[in-house]
Amino acid sequence: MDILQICIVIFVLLLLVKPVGTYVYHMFSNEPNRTDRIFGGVERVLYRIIGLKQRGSMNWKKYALSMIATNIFLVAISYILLRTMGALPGNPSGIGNMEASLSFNTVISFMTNTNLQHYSGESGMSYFSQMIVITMMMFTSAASGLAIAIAFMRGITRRGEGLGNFFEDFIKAHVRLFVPLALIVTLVLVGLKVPQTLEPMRAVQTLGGGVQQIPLGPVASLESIKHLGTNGGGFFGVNSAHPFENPSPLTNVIEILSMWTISASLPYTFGRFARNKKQGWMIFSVMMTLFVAFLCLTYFSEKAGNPLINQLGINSSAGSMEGKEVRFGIAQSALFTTVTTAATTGSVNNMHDTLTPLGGLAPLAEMMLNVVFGGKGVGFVNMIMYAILGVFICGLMVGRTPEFLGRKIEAREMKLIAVAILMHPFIILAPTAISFMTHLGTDAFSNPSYHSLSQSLYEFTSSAANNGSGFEGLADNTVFWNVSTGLVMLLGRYISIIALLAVAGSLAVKQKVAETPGTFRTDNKLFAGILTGTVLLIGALTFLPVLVLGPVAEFLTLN
Amino acid sequence: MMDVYMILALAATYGVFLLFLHWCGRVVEEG
Repeated sequence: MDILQICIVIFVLLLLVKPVGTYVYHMFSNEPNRTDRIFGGVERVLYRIIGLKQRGSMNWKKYALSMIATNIFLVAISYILLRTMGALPGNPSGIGNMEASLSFNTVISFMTNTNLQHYSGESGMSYFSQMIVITMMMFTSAASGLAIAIAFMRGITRRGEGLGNFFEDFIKAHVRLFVPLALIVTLVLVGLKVPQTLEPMRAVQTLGGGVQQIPLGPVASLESIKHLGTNGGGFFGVNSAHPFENPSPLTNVIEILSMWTISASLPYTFGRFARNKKQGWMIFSVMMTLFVAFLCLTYFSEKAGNPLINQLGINSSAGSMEGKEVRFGIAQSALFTTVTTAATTGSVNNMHDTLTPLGGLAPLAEMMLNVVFGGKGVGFVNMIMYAILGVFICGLMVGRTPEFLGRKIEAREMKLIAVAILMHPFIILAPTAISFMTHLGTDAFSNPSYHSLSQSLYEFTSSAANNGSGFEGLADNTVFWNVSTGLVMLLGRYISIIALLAVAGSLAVKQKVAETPGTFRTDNKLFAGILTGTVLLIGALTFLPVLVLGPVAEFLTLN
Repeated sequence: MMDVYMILALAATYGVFLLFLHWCGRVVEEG
Protein backbone atom coordinates (compact mmCIF):
# COMPACT_ATOMS: atom_id res chain seq x y z
CA MET A 1 0.00 0.00 0.00
CA ASP A 2 2.88 2.36 0.87
CA ILE A 3 4.63 1.79 -2.45
CA LEU A 4 1.32 2.12 -4.34
CA GLN A 5 0.70 5.56 -2.75
CA ILE A 6 4.15 6.75 -3.82
CA CYS A 7 3.77 5.33 -7.35
CA ILE A 8 0.40 7.06 -7.82
CA VAL A 9 1.86 10.47 -6.88
CA ILE A 10 4.83 9.97 -9.24
CA PHE A 11 2.43 8.84 -12.01
CA VAL A 12 0.29 11.98 -11.57
CA LEU A 13 3.46 14.09 -11.73
CA LEU A 14 4.48 12.40 -15.00
CA LEU A 15 1.05 13.24 -16.45
CA LEU A 16 1.49 16.91 -15.50
CA VAL A 17 5.06 17.45 -16.73
CA LYS A 18 4.31 17.83 -20.45
CA PRO A 19 1.25 20.16 -20.26
CA VAL A 20 2.82 22.37 -17.57
CA GLY A 21 6.19 22.45 -19.36
CA THR A 22 4.44 23.40 -22.61
CA TYR A 23 2.42 26.12 -20.85
CA VAL A 24 5.57 27.64 -19.31
CA TYR A 25 7.28 27.55 -22.73
CA HIS A 26 4.39 29.44 -24.35
CA MET A 27 4.39 31.95 -21.48
CA PHE A 28 7.98 32.96 -22.11
CA SER A 29 8.57 32.19 -25.79
CA ASN A 30 7.25 35.68 -26.63
CA GLU A 31 5.34 34.20 -29.54
CA PRO A 32 1.63 35.10 -29.76
CA ASN A 33 -0.52 32.46 -28.07
CA ARG A 34 -3.98 31.95 -26.58
CA THR A 35 -3.03 33.05 -23.06
CA ASP A 36 -2.33 36.58 -24.38
CA ARG A 37 -6.07 37.17 -24.66
CA ILE A 38 -6.63 36.20 -21.02
CA PHE A 39 -3.64 37.83 -19.32
CA GLY A 40 -2.36 40.40 -21.83
CA GLY A 41 -4.61 43.21 -20.58
CA VAL A 42 -3.57 42.80 -16.94
CA GLU A 43 0.09 42.73 -17.92
CA ARG A 44 -0.19 45.91 -20.00
CA VAL A 45 -1.74 47.73 -17.02
CA LEU A 46 1.12 46.55 -14.78
CA TYR A 47 3.75 47.58 -17.36
CA ARG A 48 2.17 51.05 -17.40
CA ILE A 49 2.12 51.26 -13.58
CA ILE A 50 5.83 50.43 -13.26
CA GLY A 51 6.70 52.66 -16.23
CA LEU A 52 8.00 49.86 -18.43
CA LYS A 53 7.64 51.49 -21.84
CA GLN A 54 10.48 49.73 -23.62
CA ARG A 55 10.44 45.96 -23.24
CA GLY A 56 13.62 45.39 -25.21
CA SER A 57 15.79 42.37 -24.61
CA MET A 58 18.57 42.80 -22.03
CA ASN A 59 22.11 41.47 -22.13
CA TRP A 60 23.10 39.13 -19.27
CA LYS A 61 24.61 41.93 -17.15
CA LYS A 62 21.54 44.14 -17.35
CA TYR A 63 19.28 41.15 -16.66
CA ALA A 64 21.27 40.22 -13.53
CA LEU A 65 21.42 43.83 -12.34
CA SER A 66 17.65 44.24 -12.80
CA MET A 67 17.04 41.13 -10.70
CA ILE A 68 19.45 42.22 -7.96
CA ALA A 69 18.03 45.78 -7.86
CA THR A 70 14.46 44.47 -7.58
CA ASN A 71 15.51 42.12 -4.79
CA ILE A 72 17.36 44.88 -2.88
CA PHE A 73 14.25 47.10 -3.04
CA LEU A 74 12.01 44.31 -1.69
CA VAL A 75 14.53 43.41 1.05
CA ALA A 76 14.67 47.05 2.22
CA ILE A 77 10.87 47.43 2.35
CA SER A 78 10.43 44.10 4.14
CA TYR A 79 13.14 44.85 6.72
CA ILE A 80 11.41 48.11 7.67
CA LEU A 81 8.01 46.39 7.92
CA LEU A 82 9.35 43.65 10.22
CA ARG A 83 11.19 46.13 12.43
CA THR A 84 8.00 48.20 12.85
CA MET A 85 5.57 45.26 13.04
CA GLY A 86 4.28 46.18 16.50
CA ALA A 87 3.03 49.57 15.29
CA LEU A 88 1.34 48.28 12.14
CA PRO A 89 -2.30 47.13 11.75
CA GLY A 90 -3.44 43.50 11.30
CA ASN A 91 -1.91 42.42 14.59
CA PRO A 92 -4.72 41.08 16.80
CA SER A 93 -2.30 39.20 19.07
CA GLY A 94 -0.24 42.33 19.76
CA ILE A 95 3.06 40.85 18.57
CA GLY A 96 6.02 43.24 18.98
CA ASN A 97 8.69 44.33 16.49
CA MET A 98 10.97 41.58 15.22
CA GLU A 99 14.54 41.74 16.61
CA ALA A 100 17.16 43.21 14.23
CA SER A 101 19.29 40.13 13.52
CA LEU A 102 16.17 37.98 13.17
CA SER A 103 14.69 40.53 10.72
CA PHE A 104 17.99 40.40 8.78
CA ASN A 105 17.76 36.62 8.63
CA THR A 106 14.06 36.57 7.76
CA VAL A 107 14.13 39.07 4.87
CA ILE A 108 17.15 37.34 3.32
CA SER A 109 15.55 33.97 3.89
CA PHE A 110 12.35 34.86 2.04
CA MET A 111 14.00 36.94 -0.70
CA THR A 112 16.36 34.08 -1.57
CA ASN A 113 13.48 31.57 -1.75
CA THR A 114 14.98 29.77 1.27
CA ASN A 115 12.36 30.37 3.97
CA LEU A 116 14.64 29.29 6.78
CA GLN A 117 12.61 30.33 9.82
CA HIS A 118 14.32 31.17 13.10
CA TYR A 119 10.96 32.37 14.46
CA SER A 120 7.66 30.64 15.05
CA GLY A 121 4.76 32.07 13.06
CA GLU A 122 2.17 31.86 15.86
CA SER A 123 4.15 34.07 18.24
CA GLY A 124 6.57 35.96 16.01
CA MET A 125 4.60 37.26 13.04
CA SER A 126 1.44 39.40 12.79
CA TYR A 127 -1.26 38.68 10.19
CA PHE A 128 -0.21 41.85 8.35
CA SER A 129 3.42 40.66 8.15
CA GLN A 130 2.37 37.14 7.13
CA MET A 131 0.38 38.60 4.21
CA ILE A 132 2.34 41.69 3.16
CA VAL A 133 5.92 40.60 3.85
CA ILE A 134 6.02 36.80 3.86
CA THR A 135 3.42 35.95 1.20
CA MET A 136 4.58 38.84 -1.02
CA MET A 137 8.18 37.61 -0.93
CA MET A 138 7.05 34.06 -1.60
CA PHE A 139 5.61 35.26 -4.92
CA THR A 140 8.48 37.57 -5.87
CA SER A 141 11.36 35.23 -4.98
CA ALA A 142 9.76 32.39 -6.97
CA ALA A 143 9.15 34.69 -9.94
CA SER A 144 12.77 35.90 -9.78
CA GLY A 145 14.09 32.31 -9.83
CA LEU A 146 11.84 31.27 -12.69
CA ALA A 147 12.79 34.37 -14.71
CA ILE A 148 16.48 33.53 -14.27
CA ALA A 149 15.93 29.94 -15.47
CA ILE A 150 14.05 31.15 -18.55
CA ALA A 151 16.75 33.74 -19.34
CA PHE A 152 19.37 31.00 -19.03
CA MET A 153 17.40 28.76 -21.41
CA ARG A 154 17.15 31.57 -23.96
CA GLY A 155 20.88 32.25 -23.69
CA ILE A 156 22.05 28.70 -24.33
CA THR A 157 19.48 27.85 -27.01
CA ARG A 158 19.14 31.03 -29.07
CA ARG A 159 21.59 33.27 -30.81
CA GLY A 160 21.78 36.99 -30.11
CA GLU A 161 22.75 39.46 -27.42
CA GLY A 162 19.60 39.39 -25.35
CA LEU A 163 18.31 37.03 -22.68
CA GLY A 164 14.88 38.70 -22.54
CA ASN A 165 13.54 41.49 -20.36
CA PHE A 166 13.70 40.74 -16.62
CA PHE A 167 10.74 42.95 -15.68
CA GLU A 168 8.54 41.45 -18.39
CA ASP A 169 9.47 37.90 -17.33
CA PHE A 170 8.98 38.80 -13.65
CA ILE A 171 5.47 40.13 -14.26
CA LYS A 172 4.53 37.27 -16.59
CA ALA A 173 5.59 34.72 -13.97
CA HIS A 174 3.18 36.34 -11.53
CA VAL A 175 0.24 37.05 -13.81
CA ARG A 176 0.23 33.88 -15.91
CA LEU A 177 1.49 31.28 -13.45
CA PHE A 178 1.83 31.92 -9.74
CA VAL A 179 -1.22 34.10 -9.01
CA PRO A 180 -3.78 32.00 -10.96
CA LEU A 181 -2.39 28.71 -9.61
CA ALA A 182 -2.17 30.06 -6.05
CA LEU A 183 -5.80 31.18 -6.26
CA ILE A 184 -6.93 27.71 -7.38
CA VAL A 185 -4.85 25.83 -4.78
CA THR A 186 -5.98 28.23 -2.01
CA LEU A 187 -9.65 27.55 -2.77
CA VAL A 188 -9.02 23.79 -2.88
CA LEU A 189 -7.21 23.92 0.48
CA VAL A 190 -10.01 25.99 2.04
CA GLY A 191 -12.44 23.34 0.79
CA LEU A 192 -10.30 20.74 2.56
CA LYS A 193 -10.50 22.56 5.94
CA VAL A 194 -7.38 24.75 5.87
CA PRO A 195 -8.30 28.04 7.66
CA GLN A 196 -8.43 31.38 5.82
CA THR A 197 -9.55 34.00 8.31
CA LEU A 198 -8.49 37.24 9.98
CA GLU A 199 -10.04 36.21 13.30
CA PRO A 200 -7.67 36.37 16.29
CA MET A 201 -6.59 33.34 18.32
CA ARG A 202 -9.53 31.40 19.75
CA ALA A 203 -9.59 30.40 23.43
CA VAL A 204 -11.04 26.91 23.95
CA GLN A 205 -11.74 24.78 27.01
CA THR A 206 -9.61 21.62 26.96
CA LEU A 207 -10.74 18.19 28.20
CA GLY A 208 -8.43 18.64 31.18
CA GLY A 209 -10.31 21.78 32.21
CA GLY A 210 -7.64 24.27 31.14
CA VAL A 211 -7.87 26.99 28.52
CA GLN A 212 -5.86 26.76 25.31
CA GLN A 213 -5.26 29.47 22.71
CA ILE A 214 -5.79 28.07 19.20
CA PRO A 215 -3.95 30.18 16.60
CA LEU A 216 -5.78 30.87 13.32
CA GLY A 217 -5.12 33.24 10.42
CA PRO A 218 -4.92 33.54 6.62
CA VAL A 219 -3.25 30.12 6.34
CA ALA A 220 -4.53 28.76 2.99
CA SER A 221 -3.37 31.76 0.92
CA LEU A 222 0.15 31.40 2.32
CA GLU A 223 0.11 27.60 2.08
CA SER A 224 -0.60 27.60 -1.67
CA ILE A 225 2.26 29.87 -2.78
CA LYS A 226 4.50 28.36 -0.11
CA HIS A 227 4.53 25.18 -2.18
CA LEU A 228 3.89 26.46 -5.70
CA GLY A 229 6.88 28.79 -5.35
CA THR A 230 9.04 26.12 -3.64
CA ASN A 231 9.29 28.53 -0.71
CA GLY A 232 8.53 26.31 2.27
CA GLY A 233 8.06 28.78 5.13
CA GLY A 234 5.14 27.74 7.32
CA PHE A 235 2.40 29.87 8.81
CA PHE A 236 2.89 27.87 12.01
CA GLY A 237 6.15 26.79 13.64
CA VAL A 238 5.77 23.10 12.83
CA ASN A 239 4.98 23.88 9.21
CA SER A 240 3.05 21.26 7.22
CA ALA A 241 2.96 18.90 10.19
CA HIS A 242 0.35 21.29 11.69
CA PRO A 243 -3.22 20.06 11.12
CA PHE A 244 -4.31 23.56 10.02
CA GLU A 245 -1.63 23.67 7.32
CA ASN A 246 -1.92 20.08 6.15
CA PRO A 247 -5.01 18.40 7.61
CA SER A 248 -5.19 15.13 5.65
CA PRO A 249 -3.33 12.73 3.31
CA LEU A 250 -5.20 14.39 0.40
CA THR A 251 -3.89 17.88 1.25
CA ASN A 252 -0.47 16.25 1.68
CA VAL A 253 -0.55 14.96 -1.91
CA ILE A 254 -1.79 18.35 -3.19
CA GLU A 255 1.09 20.08 -1.40
CA ILE A 256 3.63 17.57 -2.76
CA LEU A 257 2.43 18.04 -6.34
CA SER A 258 2.24 21.83 -5.88
CA MET A 259 5.91 22.06 -4.99
CA TRP A 260 7.11 19.43 -7.46
CA THR A 261 5.27 20.01 -10.73
CA ILE A 262 6.71 23.30 -12.01
CA SER A 263 10.31 22.38 -11.11
CA ALA A 264 9.88 18.96 -12.74
CA SER A 265 8.38 20.55 -15.86
CA LEU A 266 11.25 22.94 -16.56
CA PRO A 267 13.42 20.31 -18.31
CA TYR A 268 10.54 19.80 -20.78
CA THR A 269 10.28 23.59 -21.22
CA PHE A 270 14.02 23.57 -21.94
CA GLY A 271 13.50 20.84 -24.55
CA ARG A 272 10.96 23.11 -26.28
CA PHE A 273 13.37 26.07 -26.21
CA ALA A 274 16.19 23.88 -27.58
CA ARG A 275 13.83 22.48 -30.25
CA ASN A 276 14.92 19.05 -29.04
CA LYS A 277 12.47 17.44 -26.61
CA LYS A 278 14.83 14.48 -26.15
CA GLN A 279 17.31 16.89 -24.57
CA GLY A 280 14.67 17.92 -22.03
CA TRP A 281 13.62 14.34 -21.26
CA MET A 282 17.28 13.37 -20.79
CA ILE A 283 17.66 16.03 -18.07
CA PHE A 284 14.35 14.96 -16.50
CA SER A 285 15.38 11.28 -16.46
CA VAL A 286 18.64 12.08 -14.64
CA MET A 287 16.76 14.13 -12.04
CA MET A 288 14.13 11.41 -11.57
CA THR A 289 16.77 8.65 -11.27
CA LEU A 290 18.55 10.55 -8.49
CA PHE A 291 15.21 11.33 -6.85
CA VAL A 292 14.05 7.70 -6.77
CA ALA A 293 17.40 6.60 -5.32
CA PHE A 294 17.13 9.11 -2.46
CA LEU A 295 13.44 8.33 -1.91
CA CYS A 296 14.27 4.62 -1.52
CA LEU A 297 17.02 5.45 0.99
CA THR A 298 14.66 7.57 3.11
CA TYR A 299 11.66 5.25 2.86
CA PHE A 300 13.46 1.99 3.66
CA SER A 301 15.53 3.58 6.45
CA GLU A 302 12.41 4.95 8.14
CA LYS A 303 10.45 1.75 7.51
CA ALA A 304 13.18 -0.32 9.19
CA GLY A 305 12.84 1.81 12.32
CA ASN A 306 15.37 2.57 15.03
CA PRO A 307 17.33 -0.62 15.89
CA LEU A 308 17.77 0.43 19.54
CA ILE A 309 14.00 0.84 19.97
CA ASN A 310 13.35 -2.37 18.03
CA GLN A 311 15.57 -4.25 20.55
CA LEU A 312 13.29 -3.19 23.41
CA GLY A 313 10.57 -5.46 22.05
CA ILE A 314 8.30 -2.55 21.08
CA ASN A 315 6.11 -3.25 18.05
CA SER A 316 7.91 -1.33 15.31
CA SER A 317 5.89 -2.61 12.36
CA ALA A 318 4.86 0.98 11.53
CA GLY A 319 8.54 1.99 11.21
CA SER A 320 10.29 4.88 12.92
CA MET A 321 7.30 7.07 13.80
CA GLU A 322 9.22 9.44 16.08
CA GLY A 323 8.57 13.00 14.90
CA LYS A 324 6.01 11.89 12.31
CA GLU A 325 2.27 12.43 12.01
CA VAL A 326 0.12 9.30 12.30
CA ARG A 327 -2.21 10.61 9.56
CA PHE A 328 0.68 10.50 7.07
CA GLY A 329 2.62 7.40 8.14
CA ILE A 330 6.02 6.46 6.74
CA ALA A 331 5.20 6.57 3.01
CA GLN A 332 3.71 10.07 2.88
CA SER A 333 6.34 11.37 5.30
CA ALA A 334 9.26 9.89 3.32
CA LEU A 335 7.83 11.14 0.02
CA PHE A 336 7.24 14.65 1.41
CA THR A 337 10.76 14.76 2.89
CA THR A 338 12.37 13.66 -0.36
CA VAL A 339 10.33 16.03 -2.53
CA THR A 340 10.75 19.03 -0.23
CA THR A 341 14.54 18.70 -0.27
CA ALA A 342 14.69 17.77 -3.97
CA ALA A 343 12.59 20.75 -5.06
CA THR A 344 14.38 22.76 -2.30
CA THR A 345 11.06 23.85 -0.86
CA GLY A 346 11.95 23.16 2.76
CA SER A 347 8.46 22.74 4.15
CA VAL A 348 8.22 19.70 6.44
CA ASN A 349 5.37 17.37 7.40
CA ASN A 350 7.60 15.50 9.86
CA MET A 351 10.55 16.56 11.97
CA HIS A 352 13.75 15.94 10.01
CA ASP A 353 15.84 16.01 13.20
CA THR A 354 14.23 12.73 14.25
CA LEU A 355 14.80 10.91 10.96
CA THR A 356 17.00 7.82 11.23
CA PRO A 357 20.66 8.52 10.33
CA LEU A 358 20.40 7.29 6.73
CA GLY A 359 16.87 8.68 6.41
CA GLY A 360 18.33 12.08 7.29
CA LEU A 361 21.33 11.60 5.01
CA ALA A 362 19.09 11.47 1.92
CA PRO A 363 17.59 15.00 2.25
CA LEU A 364 21.03 16.29 3.25
CA ALA A 365 22.61 14.77 0.13
CA GLU A 366 19.87 16.14 -2.13
CA MET A 367 20.57 19.65 -0.89
CA MET A 368 24.32 19.12 -1.27
CA LEU A 369 23.87 18.11 -4.92
CA ASN A 370 21.24 20.86 -5.44
CA VAL A 371 20.25 19.51 -8.86
CA VAL A 372 17.50 16.96 -8.14
CA PHE A 373 14.70 19.05 -9.70
CA GLY A 374 15.77 21.98 -7.51
CA GLY A 375 13.90 25.13 -6.54
CA LYS A 376 12.14 27.47 -8.93
CA GLY A 377 14.52 27.37 -11.85
CA VAL A 378 17.75 27.20 -9.88
CA GLY A 379 17.96 23.39 -9.74
CA PHE A 380 17.48 23.19 -13.49
CA VAL A 381 20.20 25.79 -14.11
CA ASN A 382 22.56 23.89 -11.79
CA MET A 383 21.90 20.65 -13.69
CA ILE A 384 22.78 22.32 -17.00
CA MET A 385 25.96 23.59 -15.32
CA TYR A 386 26.89 19.96 -14.58
CA ALA A 387 25.93 18.98 -18.14
CA ILE A 388 28.39 21.54 -19.53
CA LEU A 389 31.03 20.24 -17.10
CA GLY A 390 30.30 16.67 -18.27
CA VAL A 391 30.69 17.71 -21.91
CA PHE A 392 33.95 19.47 -21.06
CA ILE A 393 35.39 16.39 -19.30
CA CYS A 394 34.36 14.14 -22.22
CA GLY A 395 35.94 16.60 -24.65
CA LEU A 396 39.21 16.45 -22.72
CA MET A 397 39.14 12.64 -22.74
CA VAL A 398 38.69 12.33 -26.51
CA GLY A 399 40.81 15.36 -27.44
CA ARG A 400 37.97 17.28 -29.10
CA THR A 401 36.72 20.80 -28.44
CA PRO A 402 33.66 20.34 -26.23
CA GLU A 403 30.33 21.58 -27.57
CA PHE A 404 26.95 21.94 -25.90
CA LEU A 405 23.86 22.56 -28.03
CA GLY A 406 26.11 23.46 -30.94
CA ARG A 407 28.22 26.03 -29.10
CA LYS A 408 31.86 25.59 -28.20
CA ILE A 409 32.63 25.41 -24.47
CA GLU A 410 35.82 27.35 -23.79
CA ALA A 411 37.99 28.49 -20.89
CA ARG A 412 35.80 31.46 -19.94
CA GLU A 413 32.67 29.33 -19.50
CA MET A 414 34.59 26.74 -17.48
CA LYS A 415 36.11 29.43 -15.25
CA LEU A 416 32.63 30.73 -14.37
CA ILE A 417 31.21 27.23 -13.90
CA ALA A 418 34.14 26.28 -11.64
CA VAL A 419 33.39 29.28 -9.40
CA ALA A 420 29.69 28.36 -9.22
CA ILE A 421 30.42 24.68 -8.45
CA LEU A 422 33.09 25.39 -5.81
CA MET A 423 31.09 28.10 -4.04
CA HIS A 424 28.41 25.63 -2.89
CA PRO A 425 30.66 23.30 -0.81
CA PHE A 426 32.71 26.26 0.43
CA ILE A 427 29.72 28.08 1.96
CA ILE A 428 28.56 24.83 3.57
CA LEU A 429 31.77 23.36 4.94
CA ALA A 430 33.54 26.56 6.09
CA PRO A 431 30.67 27.91 8.26
CA THR A 432 30.03 24.40 9.64
CA ALA A 433 33.66 24.25 10.79
CA ILE A 434 33.46 27.80 12.22
CA SER A 435 30.33 26.89 14.21
CA PHE A 436 32.40 24.29 16.10
CA MET A 437 35.19 26.77 16.86
CA THR A 438 33.13 29.08 19.05
CA HIS A 439 30.66 28.65 21.90
CA LEU A 440 28.35 30.95 19.92
CA GLY A 441 27.89 27.99 17.60
CA THR A 442 28.18 25.03 19.95
CA ASP A 443 25.73 26.46 22.49
CA ALA A 444 22.95 25.81 19.97
CA PHE A 445 23.52 22.06 19.65
CA SER A 446 20.95 19.93 21.45
CA ASN A 447 22.64 16.60 20.74
CA PRO A 448 26.14 15.58 21.76
CA SER A 449 28.49 13.56 19.56
CA TYR A 450 28.01 13.00 15.82
CA HIS A 451 24.50 14.41 15.61
CA SER A 452 25.69 17.89 16.57
CA LEU A 453 27.77 17.88 13.38
CA SER A 454 24.71 16.71 11.43
CA GLN A 455 22.65 19.56 12.93
CA SER A 456 25.15 22.27 12.00
CA LEU A 457 25.87 20.72 8.60
CA TYR A 458 22.15 20.48 7.82
CA GLU A 459 21.54 24.12 8.81
CA PHE A 460 24.25 25.48 6.51
CA THR A 461 23.47 23.02 3.69
CA SER A 462 19.82 24.02 3.83
CA SER A 463 20.82 27.71 3.77
CA ALA A 464 23.26 27.30 0.87
CA ALA A 465 20.78 25.28 -1.21
CA ASN A 466 18.06 27.85 -0.43
CA ASN A 467 15.95 25.05 1.02
CA GLY A 468 14.99 26.24 4.50
CA SER A 469 14.21 23.01 6.33
CA GLY A 470 16.25 22.25 9.42
CA PHE A 471 17.24 19.77 12.06
CA GLU A 472 15.19 21.86 14.43
CA GLY A 473 16.76 20.63 17.63
CA LEU A 474 19.24 23.41 16.88
CA ALA A 475 18.60 26.52 19.01
CA ASP A 476 19.24 28.82 16.08
CA ASN A 477 17.58 32.14 16.96
CA THR A 478 20.81 33.85 18.07
CA VAL A 479 22.82 36.63 16.44
CA PHE A 480 25.54 34.15 15.40
CA TRP A 481 23.16 31.78 13.61
CA ASN A 482 20.92 34.55 12.23
CA VAL A 483 23.82 36.41 10.62
CA SER A 484 25.89 33.41 9.50
CA THR A 485 22.98 31.58 7.85
CA GLY A 486 21.78 34.90 6.39
CA LEU A 487 25.10 35.47 4.63
CA VAL A 488 25.24 31.84 3.43
CA MET A 489 21.73 32.16 1.96
CA LEU A 490 22.73 35.30 0.05
CA LEU A 491 25.93 33.73 -1.33
CA GLY A 492 24.10 30.51 -2.19
CA ARG A 493 21.51 32.40 -4.19
CA TYR A 494 23.33 35.14 -6.08
CA ILE A 495 26.84 33.85 -6.85
CA SER A 496 25.62 30.91 -8.94
CA ILE A 497 22.88 33.01 -10.58
CA ILE A 498 25.34 35.73 -11.66
CA ALA A 499 27.99 33.23 -12.84
CA LEU A 500 25.51 31.16 -14.82
CA LEU A 501 23.82 34.17 -16.40
CA ALA A 502 27.33 35.19 -17.52
CA VAL A 503 27.75 31.70 -19.04
CA ALA A 504 24.41 32.09 -20.83
CA GLY A 505 25.40 35.54 -22.07
CA SER A 506 28.73 34.21 -23.29
CA LEU A 507 27.14 31.29 -25.16
CA ALA A 508 24.36 33.44 -26.61
CA VAL A 509 26.73 35.46 -28.81
CA LYS A 510 28.64 32.46 -30.17
CA GLN A 511 28.25 31.11 -33.67
CA LYS A 512 26.51 27.76 -33.78
CA VAL A 513 28.80 24.94 -34.90
CA ALA A 514 27.44 22.65 -37.59
CA GLU A 515 26.60 19.16 -36.37
CA THR A 516 28.79 16.39 -37.81
CA PRO A 517 28.84 12.59 -37.34
CA GLY A 518 31.60 13.16 -34.76
CA THR A 519 29.54 15.56 -32.65
CA PHE A 520 29.11 14.32 -29.09
CA ARG A 521 25.37 13.95 -28.54
CA THR A 522 23.93 15.19 -25.26
CA ASP A 523 20.38 13.87 -25.63
CA ASN A 524 20.89 10.13 -25.29
CA LYS A 525 21.23 7.49 -22.56
CA LEU A 526 25.03 7.57 -22.70
CA PHE A 527 25.09 11.26 -21.79
CA ALA A 528 22.43 10.72 -19.12
CA GLY A 529 24.85 8.25 -17.52
CA ILE A 530 27.77 10.68 -17.86
CA LEU A 531 25.71 13.49 -16.33
CA THR A 532 24.59 11.32 -13.40
CA GLY A 533 28.19 10.24 -12.85
CA THR A 534 29.48 13.82 -12.97
CA VAL A 535 26.93 15.00 -10.39
CA LEU A 536 27.62 12.08 -8.03
CA LEU A 537 31.41 12.27 -8.46
CA ILE A 538 31.61 16.00 -7.68
CA GLY A 539 29.16 15.55 -4.80
CA ALA A 540 31.09 12.62 -3.33
CA LEU A 541 34.48 14.31 -3.68
CA THR A 542 33.30 17.40 -1.81
CA PHE A 543 30.88 16.06 0.78
CA LEU A 544 31.61 12.40 1.52
CA PRO A 545 34.18 13.10 4.29
CA VAL A 546 31.80 15.29 6.29
CA LEU A 547 28.90 12.89 5.75
CA VAL A 548 31.05 10.08 7.17
CA LEU A 549 31.68 12.17 10.30
CA GLY A 550 27.97 12.96 10.69
CA PRO A 551 25.09 10.72 9.55
CA VAL A 552 27.22 7.70 8.57
CA ALA A 553 28.98 7.66 11.97
CA GLU A 554 25.55 7.95 13.65
CA PHE A 555 24.31 5.00 11.61
CA LEU A 556 27.30 2.85 12.55
CA THR A 557 26.94 3.80 16.23
CA LEU A 558 23.24 2.95 16.21
CA ASN A 559 23.89 -0.46 14.73
CA MET B 1 22.77 50.20 16.71
CA MET B 2 22.12 46.60 15.74
CA ASP B 3 20.02 47.88 12.83
CA VAL B 4 23.03 49.79 11.50
CA TYR B 5 25.19 46.65 11.58
CA MET B 6 22.53 44.60 9.81
CA ILE B 7 21.97 47.20 7.09
CA LEU B 8 25.73 47.54 6.60
CA ALA B 9 26.05 43.74 6.32
CA LEU B 10 23.30 43.67 3.69
CA ALA B 11 24.81 46.58 1.76
CA ALA B 12 28.30 45.06 1.88
CA THR B 13 27.08 41.66 0.66
CA TYR B 14 25.14 43.13 -2.25
CA GLY B 15 28.24 45.22 -2.99
CA VAL B 16 30.26 42.00 -3.23
CA PHE B 17 27.72 40.66 -5.72
CA LEU B 18 28.12 43.74 -7.89
CA LEU B 19 31.91 43.32 -7.81
CA PHE B 20 31.48 39.65 -8.70
CA LEU B 21 29.19 40.61 -11.57
CA HIS B 22 31.87 43.01 -12.81
CA TRP B 23 34.51 40.24 -12.58
CA CYS B 24 32.27 37.83 -14.51
CA GLY B 25 31.86 40.52 -17.17
CA ARG B 26 35.63 40.79 -17.51
CA VAL B 27 35.99 37.00 -17.80
CA VAL B 28 33.41 36.92 -20.60
CA GLU B 29 34.89 39.90 -22.45
CA GLU B 30 38.53 38.79 -22.18
CA GLY B 31 37.57 35.29 -23.27
